[in-house]
Amino acid sequence: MGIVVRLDLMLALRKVRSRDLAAHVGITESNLSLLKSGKVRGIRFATLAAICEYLNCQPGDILVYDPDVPDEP
Amino acid sequence: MKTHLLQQHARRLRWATLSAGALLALMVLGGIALPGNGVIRVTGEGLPYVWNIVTSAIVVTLAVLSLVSLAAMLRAIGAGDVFARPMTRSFHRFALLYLLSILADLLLPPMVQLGLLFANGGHGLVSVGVDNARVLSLAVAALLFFIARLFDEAQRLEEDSRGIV
Repeated sequence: MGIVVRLDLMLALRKVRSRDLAAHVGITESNLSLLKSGKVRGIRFATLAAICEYLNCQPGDILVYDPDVPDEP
Repeated sequence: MKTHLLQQHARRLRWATLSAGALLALMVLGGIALPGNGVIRVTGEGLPYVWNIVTSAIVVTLAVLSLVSLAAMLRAIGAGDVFARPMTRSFHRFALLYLLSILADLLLPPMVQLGLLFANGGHGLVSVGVDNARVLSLAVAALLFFIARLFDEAQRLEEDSRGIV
């Protein structure tokens, strides 16, 4: 698919804990962990908007397209 | 319908299904064990009594196994696994066993008659009868397979939905 999730980087830059972000977005920590590792099929606009709101960033700061990244099996 | 209500209904229906399966098995066993008691009678289509029992036992075994599969599907729904793999797999098994029980009911008597005919040197008649009830049962079995395909699609959508955060 070539989509890389850079949520870990943004969390580090903003010095935000995963637990706090998960609580604000309204998803479980395990789902946030799956999202950080890119092991999800998709992300809802509502989730993305809540993450961007909390981290004060744009969707492009979290999701990046890299053609060299292979598809998930 | 709310999920907990669906689960509650599934659990009740499961017990009803298991009871129906047990009752069916007991009735046929009673008919075999107590022949001519006037209440339960195992009948066949011009077959000797022993062959009646054999064909009836096969048909009823398949029917009871299909009900057990249906109960397994309802147990999965009762546990909250709606459109999960165990549920759809049980429904596939139910549809298949139901179809096999109907086909056995339809085809076993003439096959046995044919076998007996050859054993007797080829003298006699083989009667093959397809009535409205059997045609309807076959149509229902085909419909169950179609519903099973729909459940497969629902399971795929459910898995997709779970993968979206």
